[in-house]
Amino acid sequence: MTTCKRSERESFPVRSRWKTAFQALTLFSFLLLAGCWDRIEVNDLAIILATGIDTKDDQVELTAQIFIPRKAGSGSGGSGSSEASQSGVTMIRTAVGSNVAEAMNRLQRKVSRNVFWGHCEVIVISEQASKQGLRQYLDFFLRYTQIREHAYVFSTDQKARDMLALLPPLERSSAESLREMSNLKLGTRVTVLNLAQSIEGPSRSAVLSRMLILKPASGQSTYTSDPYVRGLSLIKEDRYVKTVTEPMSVGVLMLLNQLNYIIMPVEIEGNEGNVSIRLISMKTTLTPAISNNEWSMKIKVDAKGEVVLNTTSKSIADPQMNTMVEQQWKEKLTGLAKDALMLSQKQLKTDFFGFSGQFRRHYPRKWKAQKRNWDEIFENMKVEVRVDTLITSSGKSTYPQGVPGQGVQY
Amino acid sequence: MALQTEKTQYKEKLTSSLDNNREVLQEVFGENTDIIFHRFLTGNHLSALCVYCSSLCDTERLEKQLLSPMLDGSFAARSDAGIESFTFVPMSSIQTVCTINEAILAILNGQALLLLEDQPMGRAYSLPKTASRAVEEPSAESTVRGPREGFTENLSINLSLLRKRMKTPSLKLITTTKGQYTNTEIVLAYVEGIIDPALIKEVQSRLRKLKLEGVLESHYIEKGLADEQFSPFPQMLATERPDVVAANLLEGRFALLIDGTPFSLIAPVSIFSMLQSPEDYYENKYMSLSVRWMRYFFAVISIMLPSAYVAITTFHQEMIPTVLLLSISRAREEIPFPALVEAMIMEVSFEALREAGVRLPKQVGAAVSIVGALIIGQAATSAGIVSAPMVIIVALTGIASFMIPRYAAGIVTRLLRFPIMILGGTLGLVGMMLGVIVLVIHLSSLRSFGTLYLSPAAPTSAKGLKDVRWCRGGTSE
Repeated sequence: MTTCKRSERESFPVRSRWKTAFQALTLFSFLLLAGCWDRIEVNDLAIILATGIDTKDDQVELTAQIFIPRKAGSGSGGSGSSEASQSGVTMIRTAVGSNVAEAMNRLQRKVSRNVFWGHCEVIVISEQASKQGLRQYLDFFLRYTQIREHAYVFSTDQKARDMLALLPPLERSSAESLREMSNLKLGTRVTVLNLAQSIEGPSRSAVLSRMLILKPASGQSTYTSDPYVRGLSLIKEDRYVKTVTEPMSVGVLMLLNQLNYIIMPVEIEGNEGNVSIRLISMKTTLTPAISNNEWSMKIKVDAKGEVVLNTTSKSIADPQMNTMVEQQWKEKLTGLAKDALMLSQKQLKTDFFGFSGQFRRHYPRKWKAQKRNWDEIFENMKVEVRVDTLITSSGKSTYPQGVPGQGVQY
Repeated sequence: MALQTEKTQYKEKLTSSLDNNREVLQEVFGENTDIIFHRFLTGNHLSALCVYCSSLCDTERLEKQLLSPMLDGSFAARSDAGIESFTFVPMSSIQTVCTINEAILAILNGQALLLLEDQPMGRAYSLPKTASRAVEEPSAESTVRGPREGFTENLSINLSLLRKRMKTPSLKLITTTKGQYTNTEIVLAYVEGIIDPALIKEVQSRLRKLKLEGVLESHYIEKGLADEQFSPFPQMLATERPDVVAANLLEGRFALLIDGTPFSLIAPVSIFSMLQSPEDYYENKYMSLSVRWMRYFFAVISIMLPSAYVAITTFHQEMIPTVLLLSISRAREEIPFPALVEAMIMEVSFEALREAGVRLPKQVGAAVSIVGALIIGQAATSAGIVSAPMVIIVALTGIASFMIPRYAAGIVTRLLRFPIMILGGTLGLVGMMLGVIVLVIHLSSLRSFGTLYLSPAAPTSAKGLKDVRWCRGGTSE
């Protein structure tokens, strides 16, 4: 138990009281002198929701999609809801520069508020721009402090600027549309960080979702529309090399372990019509092996699906039929995988699926020794694809429905 | 200093001359109209003097129980034995008075002083005319489940409320008097065997050193006994609930019950005592636990939320989720003030509103809250002076500060909010952290009667923390 300090306080020395006052004054003046200079009110921010990169005669054209708070409906005020729909809450500004940093500098001159990149969650790079190499953009995006490294990256064969100029009727902005689509996993889901890692990694390649602009409904203005996913853009080294669309893109996504939402029609031999299967889950595992100095890769795909449409005359509840569907689906998936492998190994000679990473992980020494010969090894590598399929559900019905005369054969 | 000299002056004993005694007392009381000097002859023709304060004494009882037996003839037979054998008076609370000073105090305490010729001493009969309100439910600390009795302004009622709860001879009630002019009775209560004897010594020595002109409320004492004079934090717990006092006595604390106020003081306390409600121990353990943790959380909210909002929206916009930032920017678009000023306006007007509501009579208070809700909540936002998110922040902060069960601790959070808000608005989260660091340094160096204010968290004690996180369960510990 410590004793009371009251007696001490009563004889508080005058000098130390001055000292305390002086210290307090110093601290307070720090506060006043240091304060406020990097303070930015929300009202003074031009919040950028998406960035687009195009090229224009050898120069970089940077487009920023800026949120307009005034147009975003009257949240406060309560003087009736604004009649204007959500569309029109964003605007774009474009600037051209010899590189992306210069373009950004020029962009600020065209905007009356502080350009704020902290909420830029979407980056659209046109195929035209990525043909010239992604490196300079990636360095900027990962270096400039305001930009998020978790921004999603998309590719487009149109102008990125046009994509950002869209005013989607459903979402607040096309940036949000793009982000939501990325979250739905309709294509690949690649952030700036992922992209840089995958290009810098042993596979030296990347796969981006390719977005196109939906044709607006008749009578709507050109900009009242949405972006949509169509195919994939393949990046080799840091340059765009090829676009793949369905069915090839399905195979690529499958081997990337990123295939999520798809419904596939499967033909059944000896039957008219087909069975459509909705993918429930798919898991792709890569197992590298080196035996007798021969490098090989085992790809195992586990697919589970549900029947959503059956236009054949047979019941899916029939075990024979079920096995047959599974078999056919398996063959179809194997075919898709093989096509994708062919593209990767023989045509583009690029390791899109991260084989090299698996080898590096499993055989670090051998990988180090053979790193220089990797392109050759990869091109001639034996790849075994094994697909396991399982139909887990026949949907609400077992027998084919709507068959005239109920002519069901067992 | 006046009474000090007076006290030394009146240290002399009562003399055997009744007239002499009377002169001295009359000189002391001077022209006071409520001090009555009643001179009479007893049944056996002895000269007697009864001095009392008519505003404090029950005159009816005085006549019936004291004067009439004395004037009665039956008195004569036993009078020779001296004043100490005045056993005929049908009263239990009798005190012998030997000095002038004692006599003065007895009169001012509402006792009737009886002096006889040739007797160098007097007898003080307690005949209090008590003007006190009934025992009511404490208004500042109400519980849903738990005793409804609260202390009153009357010390003897308060003591009886406490005694009723603790029927043990170990409960010690020690009376002292403080205040040069008020001579207020203060009762130090503790349970012998539970409390640290050194603590009692410390309190008594602090009480002895304490010099006050008057004690009108418990805070006069609290201020005088506090370890750290400049701290905004209460270092003693003020309560008007006898059950809280009893519970704390059982935990080895002491209490000071003060005449004239329903608030008694408990010490030593820590910051966690300020965040505990008596009901925590009266309800189901799991409910109390969650409510208590919620209270801790909101205590932090009530200090930090406005400053965090200001700091983040003006310095660290990237920390806000995108969609939320868009909503905030939409709401703030028309606002003419910086966020810090906006927060200041709202917080100050909220405090003003609360203060106005507290001081006004209950009937008018409702009108104030309606006007306040309309002006602050609705009109200010629709006029575009403050943004809707700020209204939410201020409302939440207000609710959070109401959640602190101890009023004294609640007003501290109201006060601390402002400096931290300025720090947050000028230096961002860094400034806020600076404020918090200063606060934590202060709290961890603060002591309440030697007990560290952050204990049992800061000098960590597993056993003590059990009660902070959970609630102590029955007698098992």
